[in-house]
Formats: sequence, structure tokens, C-alpha cells
Amino acid sequence: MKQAQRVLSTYAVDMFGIASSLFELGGLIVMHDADGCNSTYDTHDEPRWYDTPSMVYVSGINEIDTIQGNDQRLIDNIAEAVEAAHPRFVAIGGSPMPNAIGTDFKAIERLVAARTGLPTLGFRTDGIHSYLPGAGGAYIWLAKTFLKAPHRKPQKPAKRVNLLGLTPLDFSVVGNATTLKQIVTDAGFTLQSSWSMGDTLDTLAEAANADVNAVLSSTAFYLAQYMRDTYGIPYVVGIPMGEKGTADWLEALRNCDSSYLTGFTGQEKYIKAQYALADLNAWKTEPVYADTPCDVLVIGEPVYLLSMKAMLQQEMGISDVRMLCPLADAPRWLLEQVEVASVEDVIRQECRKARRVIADPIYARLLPDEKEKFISMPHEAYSGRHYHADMPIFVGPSFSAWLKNKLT
Amino acid sequence: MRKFAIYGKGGIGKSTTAANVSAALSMMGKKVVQVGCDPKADSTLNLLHGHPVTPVMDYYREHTEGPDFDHIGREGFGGVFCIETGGPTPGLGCAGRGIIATFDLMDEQEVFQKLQPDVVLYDVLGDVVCGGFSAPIRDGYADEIFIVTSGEKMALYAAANIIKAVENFKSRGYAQVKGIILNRRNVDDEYELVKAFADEHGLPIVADIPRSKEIQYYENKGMTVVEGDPDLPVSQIYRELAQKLLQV
Repeated sequence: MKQAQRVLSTYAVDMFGIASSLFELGGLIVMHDADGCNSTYDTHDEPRWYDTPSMVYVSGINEIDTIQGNDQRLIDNIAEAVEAAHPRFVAIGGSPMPNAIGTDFKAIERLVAARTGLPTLGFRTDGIHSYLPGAGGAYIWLAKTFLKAPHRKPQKPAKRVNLLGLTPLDFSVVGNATTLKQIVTDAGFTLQSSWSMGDTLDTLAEAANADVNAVLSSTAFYLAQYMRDTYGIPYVVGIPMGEKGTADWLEALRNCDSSYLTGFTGQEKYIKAQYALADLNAWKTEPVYADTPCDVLVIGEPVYLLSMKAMLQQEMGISDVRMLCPLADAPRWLLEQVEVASVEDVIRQECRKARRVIADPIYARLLPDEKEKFISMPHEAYSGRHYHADMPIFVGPSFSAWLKNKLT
Repeated sequence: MRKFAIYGKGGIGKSTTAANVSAALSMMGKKVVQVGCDPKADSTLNLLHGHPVTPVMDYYREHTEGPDFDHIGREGFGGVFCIETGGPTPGLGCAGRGIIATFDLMDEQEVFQKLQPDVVLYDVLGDVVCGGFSAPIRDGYADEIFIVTSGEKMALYAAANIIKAVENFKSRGYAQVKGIILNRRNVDDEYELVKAFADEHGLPIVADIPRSKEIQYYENKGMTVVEGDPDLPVSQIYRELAQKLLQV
């Protein structure tokens, strides 16, 4: 029972990642699940649902179809929906039930593509992994399917930038995306494309013309590696946070400096997202980390952690910062400097060691007697829309003042 | 890399055939991986001199984490890398899903990238009883299927069912049946019966393996007949079958 979350929540699952990364691109997105209502996947963690048209559906798989492995009803329904809605592509992913019976999503992909004539993604999500490999896989598919050959090679210093991994799951819709784009263009860069807020499929198809890829969340690390291997576009991992962080990030982009925040060489070997039982067990391990107290513990997704740590150290003068990622299936390269723990008791212990904890407000439930040590940084992929009102714009120079105020 | 799946009725001699073909291929200098896809986990026994490899599902039962590359399988005769999926405790769980989980693990451990085999042989449980047992012929796994049968009525009935199932999977991009391996049980007019069956389905008989005491003799010693005495006529047939599979 140690893996049971008694007071904590769970992160958005793999299928949410697919829906979020593809949401605005004009595709039909189908969750193969028994749920009759897609709000489970697409309203709680998808703030764009309320004001952006989309085509997200749930298949409504039933007991007999499951027992018989009947994929035909799903394929027929998709074909019918395609005829009515005229999407640009089809994406199908699974929930725990199809995963348990070993549904062959690659075969469904082939059958749907043949039936509809549309580019189709059949993705073996299971509703157990996090949104990171889900969005990561969807981005790779988008790139392989739609990216056009570039007109010219990447230039240095960089001028044209792709913003990768910009989904509401990590940035919400409180103004982070707008601010980020403003920072990029104000600094004299050309915004080549933004994955995934605000651009169309046709714009994304031109992304290989960029000089540099800004990896803003773990969801995009696989995509950045693919674009490096295919088009020679270098990547820079990090979010521009605070005054110094923003200046440093822009400088790193200009110089195509892959070592920024991570120490990467830019030649990191592509390690694909993991999907076996062995990997799931990583969620259950109970690592024991150093027993020494620290000034600040930050909890969240790895790119955010690295960026926040740099800001705390370099701008706030706090040297003793620890990073904890509860997402065991984040890209391995990004976890090299990060502690990983998913078991509630382990996270509680880590919070106890810290003088301050910067995390989604749900984590404050771990230590009800020490609530004042927690600084609330709501994370859409964790608490959904619940704390929208408290969500700051954490991108850009103005975040310095916000954080300074919280730390005093 | 050539990837074959061996199907056929339970007890018809799939594992014996697969192990002897693997042994023969290894003697031709080929790097071979044999994957037993049966909860009984006895596919590779005769390549390992009676010291079985721990099936992946057994490993999961005993450890909190899955096996790493060094524990997922073991080299047997001729350097054949042997993997057994195994299965759940009989009467519980889902054996077919165990096959899929093992394939996921092989994928994650990059078994084929590390071993760079020339040939992969999937030795699959007799009947395709659920989705998991079709996993070896899904897109990305075996490309070609060979069915082992004798002239016995029930063996041919099972072979017909397998062919029918595989034909239904054609639009899903699955592997297709490429030939019949006749494993004789000394039924009257056995060759003619199997030949008529093969012709009916437009398939060649790629080997005609006689019933042989030598096979049992060497199996009792924990080895394939190909390893035990490669010059025996029956060993020669397996070696010719190995060559023919590469040529099909």
C-alpha cells in the first residue's frame, strides 16, 4: 500500500499528453476507453477546452468488445466521425483496459489510415504512465509525419527559434505562452513555430527551418533530439525565469548552447520513452536521499526544476537547492541531476528536510503542521484547473519580484 | 535480420523443431535468438543442456523489478540466445499479456540492437487463443510464419485454424504463413495428406522430418539432435530446413 496516494494527487496520464500536444492542430483525437465522457481526459487538465474548438472523443469500449478484442466498432466510429468532421489527422490512444488485453494500436493505426486515407497515430498509451511520454510520442509522430524539408541549414548565432513543449499541462493559460513569445521576438529572434499553443499544423510543418530548438518541458526532449538527428538543429533546455534567467536563456539560444543548465554536449543519445512493466516499477521504489536539510526543495517536471534551481541560486542567492521529480518516466537525460520519488512517504520526508518547498499546493497536504514552508506553484498537469487563480506568470523577468516576495 | 514464428498444435514438435533449427543455424555461423512464447517455458531447454533460463514472468514474480539484459536470457548451444516468456501461475492471470510484457521488456533492453542477430525464432504456444499469442506476428516482430503439423486430423485442423486466423490479420500488417513443416507421426499416407493440405492453402512443405528415436535420445541428454550428432540423417534434415528458411 506504500504506493497508494493518501493525500497527494496523480499527474496527468499519457493520453492527456497526447490530447494536449495535438489539441489545436485540427486532428481527431480518440481515447479508447470505457468512459462515456471525455471530461476525465480533457476538461480537468485542458483549460483550452472551454474556448477552443477541438475534436476529442472517447470510444466507449464495452465489456463484450473488450472480451472479444473487437476493434471494428472503434474503427467504424472513427470513420464515421472523420466523414462528419473532416479532421487533418487521427490520433488514437488507449486506457488501462485496452492495455490489459494487449490491444494492437499499430494495427488499428494501419486499419484507420487505410479506411480514412488520413495520417493516423495509434499510440499504445495505458493510462498508467505520465503525460510526458504521451506528449513526447505524439510530438515525434507529428514531426515524422508533417515536417517539411528545410530550405536552409541551421545558422549560428541563432535567429529562428522553435518553442517546444509549450503545452498548458506545464504552462497553463495564464499568460506564460504569450510572455514567452514576446520575450523571444523582443530579443530579435524570429519565432519559427510554437509547439503547442497558438500555431497551426501548417506552421509546425515548417519547424525544420529553425536554427535552434528551445526545450521548455520534458515533453519535447524526444522531439528536440529527433530534430537534431534529422535536421542538425541544436537544442537548449530551459525556461526563461527571472531577470538573469531570461537574459541567460536568450544568450544560450543565440549561441545554441546545449550545455545551458544541463551541462549537455548536445550529442546526447536518443533514448526512447519507456513502456515496460520494469519501468512502471520505478514508480514504486523508495529511494533514500541525503538526510541533510536544505534551504529550498522544488518539486515538479525536470526542465522546470533545472530552471527554477538556476534562478534560486543565481538570482535569489540560495545555494542549497534540491530538485525532486515525481515523474519517473521523464526522459532519462533530464533526470541526471534530479532526485526521483513517487512514493508519498518519501516525498514527505524530502519536504520535511527542506526549509522551504516550492511545489503545487497539493504537496502542502503532506505536512499539515508546516504549511507555511510551502510556496504554491500550481502545476496544471497535477492539480488541473483547481488553483488557476494562484498561478503566477513564471516566465520572464517579472517572476523575480513574485518569487522574492514569496521567499521573504 | 530474419524473424520467423513457429506455430502448430500443442505437442506437435514446435519446440523440438525450433531448437534444432536454431542449433543448425548457429552451426552455419548465424547469430540466433530463440524466444519461447509459452507458459510452459520449455522451448529452449535442449539448447541449454537441461539448465533452463529463468522465464521473464518468473523473474517478475520473484523480484520487484524486471530482469536487465544480463538476466533476460542466456546463451546456449552455438551461442543461441535463449529467452522464455513463461507465464503466470497456472489458473491465474493472463498468459498472452505475459508475452506482450516480455516483448516490451526485450524492446526496452534493446536485446536485438545489442545482439544483432541474423535470425530470431519465436516458438509460440499451439493455439492463438487470445491477442497475446498473436503478438509474435504483429508488425515489428516475426515477418514469416511456419506451421508445424503431422498428418493427424487434429494437427491439420489446428493448422487450418492458424492459417485462417492469420489471413484475417492480413489488413493489420501481420506476418503471413510461408510454409508447412511436416513432423511425421507415422500416420498412413502422411505425406499425401499434408501435401494435399499444403496445396489447398498454396503453401510449400519446407521440411519432412521423420519420427526419430535419435531426437528423443539426445533430448534425454539435454540437447538437440543437431548438436548431439550433426551427421545423422535427421540432423541433416534440420540443417537443410535451416538453410531453406533463409532462402524462402
